[in-house]
Amino acid sequence: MMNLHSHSSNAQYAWASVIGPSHILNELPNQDACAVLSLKEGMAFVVSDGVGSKKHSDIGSKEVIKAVKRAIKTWYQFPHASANHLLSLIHTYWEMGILPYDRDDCSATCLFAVILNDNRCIIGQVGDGVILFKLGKDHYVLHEKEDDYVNVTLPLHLARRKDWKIEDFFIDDSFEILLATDGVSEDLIKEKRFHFMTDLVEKISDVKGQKKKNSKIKNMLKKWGNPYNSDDKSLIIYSRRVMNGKYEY
Amino acid sequence: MEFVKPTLRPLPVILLLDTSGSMYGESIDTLNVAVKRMIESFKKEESTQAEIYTSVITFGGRANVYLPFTKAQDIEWVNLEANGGTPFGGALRLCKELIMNLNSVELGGKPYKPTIVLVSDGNPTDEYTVMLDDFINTKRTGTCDRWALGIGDHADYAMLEKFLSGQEKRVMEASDAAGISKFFQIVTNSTKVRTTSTNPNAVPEVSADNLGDFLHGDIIMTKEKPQVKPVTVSNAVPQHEEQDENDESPFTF
Repeated sequence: MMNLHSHSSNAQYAWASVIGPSHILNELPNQDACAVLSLKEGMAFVVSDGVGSKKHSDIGSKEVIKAVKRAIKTWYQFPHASANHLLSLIHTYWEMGILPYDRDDCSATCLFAVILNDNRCIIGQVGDGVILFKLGKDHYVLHEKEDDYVNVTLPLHLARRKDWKIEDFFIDDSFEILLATDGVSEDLIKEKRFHFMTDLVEKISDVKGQKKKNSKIKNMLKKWGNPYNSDDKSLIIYSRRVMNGKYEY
Repeated sequence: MEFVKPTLRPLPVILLLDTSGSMYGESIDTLNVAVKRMIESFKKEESTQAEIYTSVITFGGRANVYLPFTKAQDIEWVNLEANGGTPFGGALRLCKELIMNLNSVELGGKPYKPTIVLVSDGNPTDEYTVMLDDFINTKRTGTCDRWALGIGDHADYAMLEKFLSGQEKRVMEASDAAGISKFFQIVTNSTKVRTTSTNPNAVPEVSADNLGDFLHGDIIMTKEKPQVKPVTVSNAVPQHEEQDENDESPFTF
């Protein structure tokens, strides 16, 4: 395996979350949450979609972000802990984080990726949305969704281990990942999803500075290509490439 | 943005209509008027959440896709005619094919939960039981929003009830033309509610209370079925609700 450098100096990323037109109309908050977390343990990406019909789902989605962060920090202290332990901690921290509200009222999805300092990468998903990633020349979709009427989406608090989609691997090549809530993923033309991802990377490569990169994504979400889509929309794009044994961008 | 579909997601409605000889006369005439009204009503719908695509499968003499999935605006209704036997099993097979192939049909997006409306006035004349079992036990067909109307006393209510199994909906019975018409109004109303809902996959609950005028008098009545909760004719319960209430430990290794 190549001796890879730390992620922070060679990678680029951007994230944005915009409220859906129907939520503005109904004076509801943005029920999505998303965050890129730069931690001493590594880098984490989280998007969460609060279930629309639940009254505190905006709290639920924000608590997903906090729960993933807390879980990583605790889990990292145990060198032999498995990915299952990390998932278990996410559940536990979320359940405590939403208190005193009812779990069902705070229903939210959980899509995350964490790249640890040793280049171990864990990607997990419960509920709707999509995680696409490229490892070297290979393209992956973490979970290909069935028709949503066939399988009702599971929020975090109802998920069991079998409901989690998980990948746990080491990155030894160029790596790109896109995490998006279903406000974005539902509209993507299936055959063009990875083109979309490449386009995002190119978009954020064009500008310097994190704020400008984020603005670029935010503007794109605000001018979303499907005028009929009334949902909140959130995404995170992350990319790092290996050139001559070093990550470059 | 060339990566995105700039379209409303489709809400498929499939009408499974008995056009056998016994429907000849007032029944088929009323059915034609009711379906035409439904389509006209769909045409007026200006939802920003979903677009209704209607398909009609007839079973009279032979099972036939009378109308492939079509937007309401593009439908020019041509009246059905009644004759022949009642090949319900064949119609179910065609219906299943339509649903299983929904994603490969270019409707403009990932379909919402289809609504299937079965109307019949008699006993099937083909072997349908295996097909019906398969239909209700297959996930993609069995999770559809299903409605059933029996016309008159000779309809096969046991078959109609089985068609609805797995839902809380009840078979409805129409004793005359007005009943058929009202049934279609109820289905039209329920479907339109879905198209404006923030979650069109959720089937609205239709009870005697909120049906209002639809249940005035006894023109339409739910078939008596004491073992089922009274009056509720529709209620989709999320599949996951039952599993968690008494389980405080959602995660096991």
